[in-house]
Amino acid sequence: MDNNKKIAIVEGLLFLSGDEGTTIEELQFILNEGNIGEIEKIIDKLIDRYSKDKACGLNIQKFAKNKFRLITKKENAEYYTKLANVKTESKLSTASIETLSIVAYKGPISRANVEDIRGVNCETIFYKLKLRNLIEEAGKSQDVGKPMLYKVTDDFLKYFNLNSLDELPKLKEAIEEEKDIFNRGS
Amino acid sequence: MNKWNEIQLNNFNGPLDLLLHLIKEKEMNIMDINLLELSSQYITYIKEYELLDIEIASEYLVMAAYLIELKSKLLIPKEEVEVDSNYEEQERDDLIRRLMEYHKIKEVTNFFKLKQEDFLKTFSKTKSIIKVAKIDDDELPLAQNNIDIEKFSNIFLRAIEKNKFQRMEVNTINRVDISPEEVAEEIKSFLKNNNINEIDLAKLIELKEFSIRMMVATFLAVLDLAAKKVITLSQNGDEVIVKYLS
Repeated sequence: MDNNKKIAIVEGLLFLSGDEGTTIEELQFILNEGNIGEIEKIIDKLIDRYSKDKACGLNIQKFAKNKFRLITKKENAEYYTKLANVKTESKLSTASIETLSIVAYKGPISRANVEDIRGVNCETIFYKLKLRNLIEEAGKSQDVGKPMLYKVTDDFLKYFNLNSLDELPKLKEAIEEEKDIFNRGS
Repeated sequence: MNKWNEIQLNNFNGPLDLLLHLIKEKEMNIMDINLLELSSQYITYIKEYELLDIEIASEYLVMAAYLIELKSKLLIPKEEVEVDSNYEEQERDDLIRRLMEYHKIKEVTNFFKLKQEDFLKTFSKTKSIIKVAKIDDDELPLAQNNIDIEKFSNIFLRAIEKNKFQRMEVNTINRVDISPEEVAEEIKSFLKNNNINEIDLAKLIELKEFSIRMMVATFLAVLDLAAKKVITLSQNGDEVIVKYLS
């Protein structure tokens, strides 16, 4: 199959997949292409074209390592919000973001451990984050009572535009400082 | 009474957040906290919010109780608590560990907030349902049957309405499990046995066998028989004529 046709098929598939995005595996299946590198090249070509073409309103978001989502360019967002059927999506509260980041950095983690770090009950926030599919269950802990453990989802990676958790900013490690506390007198 | 969102207006997301704020306000180094002062500050703050919704503020109160305990231990002359000092230091270190842990997380929340802003500026559509043509037009079951499907269903609706007034069967529980296939068989044998070539659909469904109890099954059975070309349906004014083919 000619390369331009492949690009066109991928573009169409991205359009059809919408919010969910499409995966490398899906593209492999549809194009019947064994070589992942080839598929990545096709996607990169599309991304390149979209970003260079100022007269084009679309873009591709790469997330969760091998997922791709066709989106509108963010610089035009204000125009699209003039549409009649705009649905307002509530932003995550600071409390939700705190909770999410703890799960992202320390997951799989139990709710009790998150609550220990935040110093507050997180039941409602956990419920809401589960509803928005930003966190999911990840087995049970072997600790007493076998509490449920949680981790962040691919939707989390999509929401924060991350390819993997490795892209999270490093937490300031304070091991040296912590030693100081122990040496310090009261 | 103050409510939770009023506390949030002050940008505190829990007792540790408030503690961090106080540390910052007093320009204390997180590593070099004056616990005595911090405890007093915290409790003063909580007192100002004395009218807080207790249920919601419980975590703040738990922290206050904890700080008061710490403070009381710190205030006891050193010599007398020699035995306990280990425990006291552990408690204190534990609080500082928690504060630092929380502080680290708080420092990255801005990263997530900015990323969130970006995400909410991009839009995509919901996943499409792919509709693929499946049956050839010639094969469409009702294409050969020259009837208005609206009229067809109206006949059933009228029959149901009529039954509502004529019979009081509506309130009796009289369950008969019968499938459209069985009804179709019955219709077929009825037409065959009575040597009927043509019958008005309305009359057919008024027959005892195909009464209100199995209206849905009859409706589907008639359509099915038409699709299988056992019968044809044709229109004559408001009447739909059922014609038995073989």
